[in-house]
Amino acid sequence: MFNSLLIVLLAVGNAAPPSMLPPTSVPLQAGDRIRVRHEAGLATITGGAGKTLDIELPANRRDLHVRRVEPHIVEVTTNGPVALRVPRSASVESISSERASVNIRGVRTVNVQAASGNVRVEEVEGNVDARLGSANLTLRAIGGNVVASTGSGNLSADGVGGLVDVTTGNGNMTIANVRNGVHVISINGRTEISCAAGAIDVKDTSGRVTIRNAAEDVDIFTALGQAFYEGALKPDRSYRLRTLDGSVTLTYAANSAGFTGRVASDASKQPREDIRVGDQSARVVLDAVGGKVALLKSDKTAAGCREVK
Amino acid sequence: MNCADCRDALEQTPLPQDVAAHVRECAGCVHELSLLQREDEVYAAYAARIEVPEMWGAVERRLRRGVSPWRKRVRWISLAAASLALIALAVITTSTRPPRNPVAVAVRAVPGPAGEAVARYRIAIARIEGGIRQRAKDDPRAAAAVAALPELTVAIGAAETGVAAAPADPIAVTRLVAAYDAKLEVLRGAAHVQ
Repeated sequence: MFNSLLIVLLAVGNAAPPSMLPPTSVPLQAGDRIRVRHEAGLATITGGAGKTLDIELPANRRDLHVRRVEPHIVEVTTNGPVALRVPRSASVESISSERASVNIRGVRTVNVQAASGNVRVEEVEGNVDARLGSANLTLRAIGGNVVASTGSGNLSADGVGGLVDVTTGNGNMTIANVRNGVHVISINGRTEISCAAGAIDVKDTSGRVTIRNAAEDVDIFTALGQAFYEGALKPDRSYRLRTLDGSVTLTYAANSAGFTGRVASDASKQPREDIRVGDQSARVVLDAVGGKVALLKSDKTAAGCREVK
Repeated sequence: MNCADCRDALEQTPLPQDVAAHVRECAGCVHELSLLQREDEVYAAYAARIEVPEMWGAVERRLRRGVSPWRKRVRWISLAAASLALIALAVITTSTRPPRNPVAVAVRAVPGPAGEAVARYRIAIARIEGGIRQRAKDDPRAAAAVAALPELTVAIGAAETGVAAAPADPIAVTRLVAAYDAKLEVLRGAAHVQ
């Protein structure tokens, strides 16, 4: 428990290599979570086959503290660059300040809090939770759900096995190849989503939203921004793009299903227009109060999406 | 007490204790109460406009009677007072010109990135709300829309309170935009059924 507090203060050994100290190895218990707090530089956290927490610091640094802060949380605190190797089954929590960046790879789950800098998370078996200020987040090959919020930081996610739920103020979101649904709330950023196998729901205030090649229902709302859908329309799916005073444009690919559609713009001479195309198996609603709507047909077929593992 | 009961009792003066207690703790009802108070101010301005001509009549009656020097002095004083009253009337009429729509009464600036969207929503709502209210006596769809407005106004008030506390919070901003959007969609739904 708490009385099992472990504190390791590194001593610089004479036999250490010039650049890095020999790794400090900390034994872990089953179910331990590893929390890393660091102030500056790059922290690299890599999952491996080992059972211990191995920490490497540059040779000129002594500012490492490791302690068990809760029964199942081992906390590593450092002020500069650090490299950690953790068991692949570990859950990692990273808390970094404005001058720090983090790379995390090959662990079970990740929880990130970052004020600024860059955060890169790859090959995570489970969920990723991230709370970012102006930090940029890059996600690759995430097996579980991604839940992230940013102030003005950008997010790039490619290859997500679960759901993606993102909230941002002014960040740019690029999300691709998701095996489930995507939900985005954005005030003023640029949102691009492509190849999501689940439903897509975007609520935007004055940004720019582009969705490509959705497999299921698409619902985009932007009060003052611009919303685009490009891709094939699928049978029994609905595509709903709405705006107050912005613009909405749907360009459907040549290999689309037929659809019934309603195109409405209160500002135009013909406020409501109902459209029927082909087998009418999909549903399209484009709606603007004072803004513009456009329904376009492309001569090209929609590009395929790669399978997400 | 719930918000619906509270809103029914908001026009009572003074407010019953339980209503006042609810208002103290409910941002939505505070907003609703502020709307009613603004409406009262507008009606008070209307009342001022109506009373002025009656005062003119009284002045004229006195002028017609006027004979004595004292009455002559009163006549000039009355004329001056009437002139001042006319000037005041002009100022009141200009500054409290009746809004085209009740929504205009509720206008208060919303801070942060939601501000522009809210301003646009208020304009869009103001364009059609008056017409829907007028049709509500004869048109059940319009009446249903008007009946839904108080609840939506409460939701807007609560969302505005949220944005005031955190103007840059995407969730708060989106909630406020959604609240205005819901109100506009209710009105548009009634406006487009003829």
